[in-house]
Amino acid sequence: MGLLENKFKDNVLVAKLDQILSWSRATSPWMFQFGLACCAIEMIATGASRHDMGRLGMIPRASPRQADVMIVAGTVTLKMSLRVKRLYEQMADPKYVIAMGSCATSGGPYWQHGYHVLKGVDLVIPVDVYVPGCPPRPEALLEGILKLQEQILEERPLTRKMV
Amino acid sequence: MTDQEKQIQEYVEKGLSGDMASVNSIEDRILRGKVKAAIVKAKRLGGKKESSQLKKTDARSSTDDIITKLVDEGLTGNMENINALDDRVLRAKVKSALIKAKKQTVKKSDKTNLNSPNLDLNKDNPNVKFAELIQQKFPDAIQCEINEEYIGIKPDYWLNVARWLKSDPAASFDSLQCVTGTDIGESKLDSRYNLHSMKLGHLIEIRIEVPIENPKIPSIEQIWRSGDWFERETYDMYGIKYEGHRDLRRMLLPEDWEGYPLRKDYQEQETYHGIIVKKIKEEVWD
Repeated sequence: MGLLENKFKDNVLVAKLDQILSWSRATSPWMFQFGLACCAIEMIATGASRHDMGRLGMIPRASPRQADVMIVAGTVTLKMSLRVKRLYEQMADPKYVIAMGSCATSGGPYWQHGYHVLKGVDLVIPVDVYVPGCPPRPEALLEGILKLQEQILEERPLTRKMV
Repeated sequence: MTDQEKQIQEYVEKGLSGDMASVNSIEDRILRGKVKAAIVKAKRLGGKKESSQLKKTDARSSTDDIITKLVDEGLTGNMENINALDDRVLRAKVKSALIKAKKQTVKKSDKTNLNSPNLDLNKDNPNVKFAELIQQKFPDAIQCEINEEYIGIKPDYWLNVARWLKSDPAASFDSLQCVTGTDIGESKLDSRYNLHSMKLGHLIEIRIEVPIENPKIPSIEQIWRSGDWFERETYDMYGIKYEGHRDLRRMLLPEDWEGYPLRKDYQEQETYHGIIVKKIKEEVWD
């Protein structure tokens, strides 16, 4: 069927349950698509065939209930910030946030004079990975996802608290 | 010196003496390019040498003389001498000076227009034409002097004027293209309407001034339906209250927002639902 066909005989693999849990979490971080501005275009490009986010186990979900990672891609206005917070609260644990682009990390070009823009999504929800750029290239977003996977792999959900 | 360099030098000398035909007949494309570049360089160097021989002040005054002379010629309509100038920089200078001179003459004529407004007005201009028609129909409705840019109307008359503008067969403004607001200072706001007649193809702009303390304008949302969201947006940004609008809520900002952001005296709020709006205060930047 696949690449691994007939490569292994009947076998028993031994591992720590902790590690298996964090490994399975890290290799299938389903993503809540949160395209708010121009960063969304780069996020779409990341999902398309050239960069193919799917090879990292990332599947876009339209509902927060089915997602593990929220990629906040774009300018978060104050009107939207309340919705962002509510949607984050609707996600099931364990949940992670990637702040994509300078708007989501710090307010970006609206830092000084944007009366209506949230100055960084971390004022509302906890952020795990910041991806700089205006907007970041797909490679940068992929790097951010890999960093998040590294972080998830270090977690030991049964024996230690989450890092 | 290699053979190629010698060759180039020969061709450059030929080219400088005016024999460009032999230069153009070089078959090797790279060599031809090199020769032409060398000729351009040599010409430029020669030009610089000549100008540096003159004293700087002399050069400047002589070019100034040339420019003023050519500009005078250009103003009378004779562009031949200007276009025939070889020095590209000088030509550009002359042309820009010419444009400047033309603008100044236009400005002068504008000023004379302001001094005697009703004499020089273009009667075919729709803003003038309809301002006069409105004045005949509603004698007190016009707020400012008739001009070619816009028609100023008093807010009390606006609803009747708008109905007339839409229904009258000579006007028949069937399309409201845009409504915007402006904070024009001196504690006044104004609302601007761009009207277009798709049937007759003319276009006017209406401006209505209101005091900032009590900004009330009758709504034309039920006359032109496109005015609905336009008026809501203007209300959102400037706080102009369109009386008679059936659904005057904020358009873009959340409903519990304080203040109207496009007014000149707008102060942004410190927090919104407990979220800090301004992360760094102004003093930190200074």
